[in-house]
Amino acid sequence: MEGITYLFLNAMTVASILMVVGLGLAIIYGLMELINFAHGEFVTIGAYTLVAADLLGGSFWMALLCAPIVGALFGILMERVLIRYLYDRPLAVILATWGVSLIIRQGIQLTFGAKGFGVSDPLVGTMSIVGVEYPVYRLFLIVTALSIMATCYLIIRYTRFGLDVRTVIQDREMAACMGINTRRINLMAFSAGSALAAIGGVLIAPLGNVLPHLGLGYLAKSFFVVIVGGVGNIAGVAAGSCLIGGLETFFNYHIPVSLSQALVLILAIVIVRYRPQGIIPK
Amino acid sequence: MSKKINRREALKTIGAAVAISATSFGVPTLLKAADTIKIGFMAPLTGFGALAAPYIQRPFELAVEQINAQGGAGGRKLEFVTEDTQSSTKGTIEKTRMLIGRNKVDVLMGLIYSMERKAALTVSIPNNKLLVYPTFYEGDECNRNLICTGQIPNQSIDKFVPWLMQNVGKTVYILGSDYLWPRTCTEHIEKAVKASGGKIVGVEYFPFGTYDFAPALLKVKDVNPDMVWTMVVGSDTSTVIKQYRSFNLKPQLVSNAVDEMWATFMPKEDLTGIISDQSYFMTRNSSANSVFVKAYQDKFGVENGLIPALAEAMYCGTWLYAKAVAKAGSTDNEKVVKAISQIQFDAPQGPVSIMACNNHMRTNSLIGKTREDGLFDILADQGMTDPNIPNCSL
Repeated sequence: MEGITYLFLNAMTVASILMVVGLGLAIIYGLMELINFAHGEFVTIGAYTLVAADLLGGSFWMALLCAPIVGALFGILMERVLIRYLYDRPLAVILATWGVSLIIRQGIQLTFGAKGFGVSDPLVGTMSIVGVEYPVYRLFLIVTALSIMATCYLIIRYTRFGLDVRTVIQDREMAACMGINTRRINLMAFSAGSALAAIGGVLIAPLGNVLPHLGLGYLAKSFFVVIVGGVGNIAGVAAGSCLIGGLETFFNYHIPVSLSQALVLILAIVIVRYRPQGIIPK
Repeated sequence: MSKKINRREALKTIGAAVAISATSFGVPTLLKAADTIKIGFMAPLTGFGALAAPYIQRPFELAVEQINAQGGAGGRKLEFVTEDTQSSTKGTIEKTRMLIGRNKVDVLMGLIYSMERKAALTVSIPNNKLLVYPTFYEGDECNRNLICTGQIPNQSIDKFVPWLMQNVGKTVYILGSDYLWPRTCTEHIEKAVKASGGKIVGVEYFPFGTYDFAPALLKVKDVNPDMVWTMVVGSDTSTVIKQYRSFNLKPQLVSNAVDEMWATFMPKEDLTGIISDQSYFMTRNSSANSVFVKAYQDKFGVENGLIPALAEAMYCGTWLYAKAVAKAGSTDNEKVVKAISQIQFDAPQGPVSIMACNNHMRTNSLIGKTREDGLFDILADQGMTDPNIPNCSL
């Protein structure tokens, strides 16, 4: 029983990380049909917001509040200066965002240096939950990720902005005919996606080491999550992250880690082969 | 569709780019002169290895400065060109070629990772160039053109394991990054543990960039070994140790890779209490070491003044080479290699020299425990050990 609880909690930790990172990507990819290769760098920007807060004597909680603002500002800047000129050229967007990712990564390296930063755990110690001892910070991570998902779901489902977003996803031209300012929606979606990635960065940072290429490692995984889960909806992201995170954690218990990562990749390919629209299509 | 790319335009642009890069980067920084010795220094200045690069760059520059202040090596001043391997095999090969072919250096020094070493050797051996390599590594190179000054397994693991079996416990769980060095070391650990009557109760390897170690850590919790031996490297190190601490695991953490450098990229409270074996710790009590630490911190400042074993080994390598050149009276490879096994250097880790049969250095084996400030309390000073590479007789 204890083993199963641990397995579940570990799977949820990995799924939570993938959720927050994947969610922003899903919004940008699902709504604007743009492949944003710089998404990982927004995760890095979030993590470095925490490093900056740490260096300036601030706290984790302050960084958690600031990061989405910083992320959104960078997102708006990128959309205004670059992306909006390329909406009709999706291939150019891939190249452009890739270029931006290089610039951001090197910029961070020039500002903060190439060496990593270790950020202290904001919540130390373990806590007893359904009969097992589990690190408090991981529980916090899971709860936060789930609340972010829930909030996004509520916004998309019940607000005017959400309605506009869903309309644009369904049919961009028709939405424009109905008087929805699709360019404004694009800008908002892009900055929201970037803000979410930055929150993800802050949440991930205490688990490991903050480096200029931190986000890169999460980029491929989060693309997977979005594609396997289903493009263009939040439930798809949740399903995708739980599947990938769950499988990875489960395999890690039984077979060597390198092999298990490969196996997850193969399974994801098989799923996409037989269900190209994802687990939960839009 | 915007401007089409045509072949002529593309060729023109590429040609211009090549011309520009050739003029701005291709200027030989060394002037040919017989009274200087030219060293080609290589380090992973960018890429994943960038965090470690200063720890070979600084001691190298300090050694060069000191040697020159004493009149150089056999009366010849040292000069050097620094090149970036970009933490990649491709970068290393290109830069090695460049240093040998264009800069015409007399000797190559530096590099940190095994794959960099392997890459550089593919160029330096056919060109008959000597390479001085500082890192502790898996210990199987046997070549006249390679001088190694870091610990190899028989100098660290074989000395460390019996001590651990006596002072910590008999069961070991190994966690390592999934590549050559941890895998080779595991073989050595297994042999040494068996010989001391202990037992390996688990071995696990992780790909680079693993962000969740929880499954393995919970297995450790189940097995409850006396110690967990970590050979997880690079930035993953910090991830595994932080997560180890967050799960509040009790087994003693031990390693043959933890050094002073780590306190710069992870919280010190997580590092405290790890037991490690290295050829050198900054806290070693000797007059040669106090002089070294003072010179190092005077030059680079106290904030850049952490000196891991890797740095000290680079310092030894540079000095040994200079002394060998002085003795040989030449930079000719054969003469230098012959001379280098006949000299001794009073290094911070103790008196060091190179074994003629395998070109590796006699190193110390110090066992230390991390303190709250990230430095080490030395628990045992096991003295100088000869490097042993089976079937190697140069």
